[in-house]
Amino acid sequence: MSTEPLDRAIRDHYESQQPSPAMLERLRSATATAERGRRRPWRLLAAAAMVLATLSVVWWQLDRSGFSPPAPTTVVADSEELTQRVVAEVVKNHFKDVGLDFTTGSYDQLATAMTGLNFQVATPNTERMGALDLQGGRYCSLQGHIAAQLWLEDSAGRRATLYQTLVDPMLDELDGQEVEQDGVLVSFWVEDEVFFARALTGAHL
Amino acid sequence: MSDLDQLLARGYRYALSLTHDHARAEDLVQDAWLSILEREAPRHVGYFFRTIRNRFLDLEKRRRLVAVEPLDESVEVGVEPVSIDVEDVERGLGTLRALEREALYLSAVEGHTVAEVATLTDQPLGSVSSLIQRGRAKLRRFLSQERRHG
Repeated sequence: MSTEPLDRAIRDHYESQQPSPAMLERLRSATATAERGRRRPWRLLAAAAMVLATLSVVWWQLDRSGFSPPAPTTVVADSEELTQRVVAEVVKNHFKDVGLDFTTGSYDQLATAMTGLNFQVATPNTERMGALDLQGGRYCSLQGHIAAQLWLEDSAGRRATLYQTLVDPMLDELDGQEVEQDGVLVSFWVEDEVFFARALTGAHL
Repeated sequence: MSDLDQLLARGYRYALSLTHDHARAEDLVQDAWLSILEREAPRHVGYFFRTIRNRFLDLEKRRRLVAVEPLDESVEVGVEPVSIDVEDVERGLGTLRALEREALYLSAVEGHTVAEVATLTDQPLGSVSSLIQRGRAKLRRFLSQERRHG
């Protein structure tokens, strides 16, 4: 019996499926960033030398004219952009319902089970977590780093999510920040070498 | 659509054949692509598919959900319906095992021969042939039932 109609139906089905524009945009952006990092060192050195030379000339001229430089707003903008990027990723993951890799109410058991991470799942500071009980965890990624997404519930069965990943200098900048987006309150903190992001929906606020 | 978008879309459809779930497919594609970027690995479809597959099997092993079914050569041959409803196909594919869907996808959508699918998925030729036959038979059976009930 010919399999053509069936194969055509399978083909039609899959070819009608498209990834979300949000995912495409994220990966395009990550690819562009990676490509910038892959430029040849001599180009970077040449660019750095040109920037240094330009800055020296500008600085020398400003110094001569008695000009006082303004506060470094570029750094603030970069930091805000980083916060928004991480918050957006946490909120997106918070609303995903893709099932747990491990079901347990114990942080220690989760730490033992999640061997695919490059860090150990840590028990967060009790004061920060309040009355949220652990339900389990799954693997996910945060800013390209492998991470754990932990599901938690309060006594009314409302879900909160907690993300853990190995801290790096970039994520370390977010320590202590708290941002609300789309009805989700996202808090960042660092304990030992682990970066935490907690997402609470409106019901918890 | 740029070359990169096309590659990501192909990766997404392949991941969908493994997971049959939009969110999990996007997670797989994202993890696989970021890993390729991080390792400065080749950005071609073969390597991309392999990274997606390895990541999928890794996660499924951890979840202990990789189902094993004897590779029986004697598969039931169903009667193929005259017209096939797109929604029925989606639901029918959901009744297949991940490796059956994957083998059907690589064969019907990517146009690979059984031998090529065997090479791509590191499986014996006979196993891949069984997966494809069994996948088609299950799908035909599902579509026939839907047609009778519909």
